[in-house]
Amino acid sequence: MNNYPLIHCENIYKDYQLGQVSVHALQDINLSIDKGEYVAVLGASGSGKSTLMSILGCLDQPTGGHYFFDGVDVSRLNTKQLALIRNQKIGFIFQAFHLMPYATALDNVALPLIYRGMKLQERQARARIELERVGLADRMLHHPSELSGGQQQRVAIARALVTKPKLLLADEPTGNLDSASGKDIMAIFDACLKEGATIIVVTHDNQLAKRMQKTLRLQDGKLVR
Amino acid sequence: MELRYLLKEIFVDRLRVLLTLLAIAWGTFAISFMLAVGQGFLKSISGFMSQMGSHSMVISPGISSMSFQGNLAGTIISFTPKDIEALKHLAFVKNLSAEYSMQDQLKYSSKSTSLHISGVDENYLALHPVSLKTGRFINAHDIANRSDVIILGSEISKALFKNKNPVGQWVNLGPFALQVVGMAKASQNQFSLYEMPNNYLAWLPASLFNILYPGQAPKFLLLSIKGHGEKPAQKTVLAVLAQAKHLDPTDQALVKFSSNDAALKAVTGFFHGLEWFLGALGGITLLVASFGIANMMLLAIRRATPMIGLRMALGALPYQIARNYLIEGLLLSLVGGFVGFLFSLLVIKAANLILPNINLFGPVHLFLILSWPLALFIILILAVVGLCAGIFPALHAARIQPVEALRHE
Ligand SMILES: Nc1ncnc2c1ncn2[C@@H]1O[C@H](COP(=O)(O)OP(=O)(O)OP(=O)(O)O)[C@@H](O)[C@H]1O
Ligand SMILES: [Mg+2]
Repeated sequence: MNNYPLIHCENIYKDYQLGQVSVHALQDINLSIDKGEYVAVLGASGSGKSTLMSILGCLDQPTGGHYFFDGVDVSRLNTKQLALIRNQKIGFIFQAFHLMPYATALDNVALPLIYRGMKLQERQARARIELERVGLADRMLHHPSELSGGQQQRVAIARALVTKPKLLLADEPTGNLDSASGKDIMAIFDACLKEGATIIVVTHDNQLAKRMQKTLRLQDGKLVR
Repeated sequence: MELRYLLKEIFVDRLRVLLTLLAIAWGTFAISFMLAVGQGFLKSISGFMSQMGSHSMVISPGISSMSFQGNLAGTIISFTPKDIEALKHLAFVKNLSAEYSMQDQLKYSSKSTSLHISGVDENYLALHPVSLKTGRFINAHDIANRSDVIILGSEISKALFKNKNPVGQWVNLGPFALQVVGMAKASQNQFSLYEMPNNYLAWLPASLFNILYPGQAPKFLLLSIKGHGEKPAQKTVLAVLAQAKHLDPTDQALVKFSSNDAALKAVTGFFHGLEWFLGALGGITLLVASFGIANMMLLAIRRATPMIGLRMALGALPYQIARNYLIEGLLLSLVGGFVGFLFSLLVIKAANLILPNINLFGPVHLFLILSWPLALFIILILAVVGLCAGIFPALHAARIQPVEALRHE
């Protein structure tokens, strides 16, 4: 095992320039997350949770500070290298699911593997395994519109897991779901955790956050203890 | 594979897709049909022109403009039987006929008309088409026997005989009586190389002409060439004649060449112009349609921005996204174009069934042609249109950031 943390942030800043005004979405963020940790990100609306996730997930670059992911200084990477890291090491789950409406559950799950240049057969084989894991073995050829919200989110989770990522990022994954479906999702996360994944979840639900080992609380772009 | 989903993203707006494809189809139809019209007319016209003796030329005598070997400038050229023999022996000369000409009065009972009498031989018809309405033209037998026969142009016949058939009647040329053996069709030929159109001529055997008008040299030499360019042929002819008369072979004034290739060029130029104009019209339609495709794709991209962000988040590279949209633009253009092209093929087929039955342009038979090079040219245009339509949306899509995936309504 390497001894550096999976995630290490040093004085991260993120400013958005809106004309003359600059919005300080993140200010002086310092944090470390080890492999295998289960972390909740809490905070009021507009506090910078999504912004933090976008930086941790290498979707965006910070405007200040350094972000080390898996021992690599992400701020030095170019577009291509970032895409590679996202594809190989990070899985995303969004509040809005973001499934392709025209594609079957199977094709949706297989999508990230296209960008690895993987053959169709293998893509589908892997997607099948993931869909079975999230309990959708009998829904593989359904389109998103034929699935319930909870089922759609499980498809999205299968898509995030199909690349066997080191880090799983979920931005309010249960925000659009009822509590029963939310529990299903959390159960899947628990299972992933047992297999050694690192998971960071943005949530408004304090009850949920209590299940997690670590809580990051954001307020006006700053971490508060 | 991914392209399938992109196309579906676009097809959300079915009506817009349909209209855009229709515009492409229409533009393609316009280009294809109009080019076919241009090409077909060009072919029709040049086919007609070659009927009247393409690659034939008419040589008329001139006056030397330079002194040469003791012969002063101002020597009047006249064609001799020796010249004609010499020219006949040139390898590239396919056919040669001398035409004698004289202005005279032709009489029938109390009527008379002034006209140009042409003395020609049996080769003349191959070089200068005269379609006969009734009777026959001069043959080798007439030449050998100096038969006292004459063939009338349509206007001459009208002046002397009104609408009666003149064949078999005897007409008077000065003191001589000649029997009419043929009458020419009225010709609408606009491209005559002669000062006088066919309609105002009458033809009689050259051997007879030489007796009626002794001492006349041929007014024109008509000659057709094979396997040789027109310019080098003219140069050689000039050299042969100059040598026979001890004149400067570089003296362009010795003889005058007129060829219907020159007339053909003018007509061809006109139809090329027409082609360009019509082609440009279709081109503009396609350009507008290409904007339509681009606009449609941009709208689809705007709708799909979170999905494109998602693809980026999942590891798609900007160029992979861009490539898909480029292919999509190309596909839309080619599909629309294919429909338009097929439609134009149908219309061209139909037009070619109908056109022979309408006689719009007299003897010129119109038909439309869509050749393979034309079809390839159209495909090329469509490809360019598709790429032009796709490139802007593609670049736009490639600039979408992966963070867009995080945003939600
Ligand atoms: N692209 C952007 N341009 C300008 N400002 C932005 C942009 N993205 C986020 N912000 C601003 O940054 C701040 C943090 O936004 P962020 O989306 O991270 O909040 P959040 O904690 O995720 O909120 P929510 O719980 O509502 O999702 C907000 O003030 C927001 O307006
Ligand atoms: Mg948010």
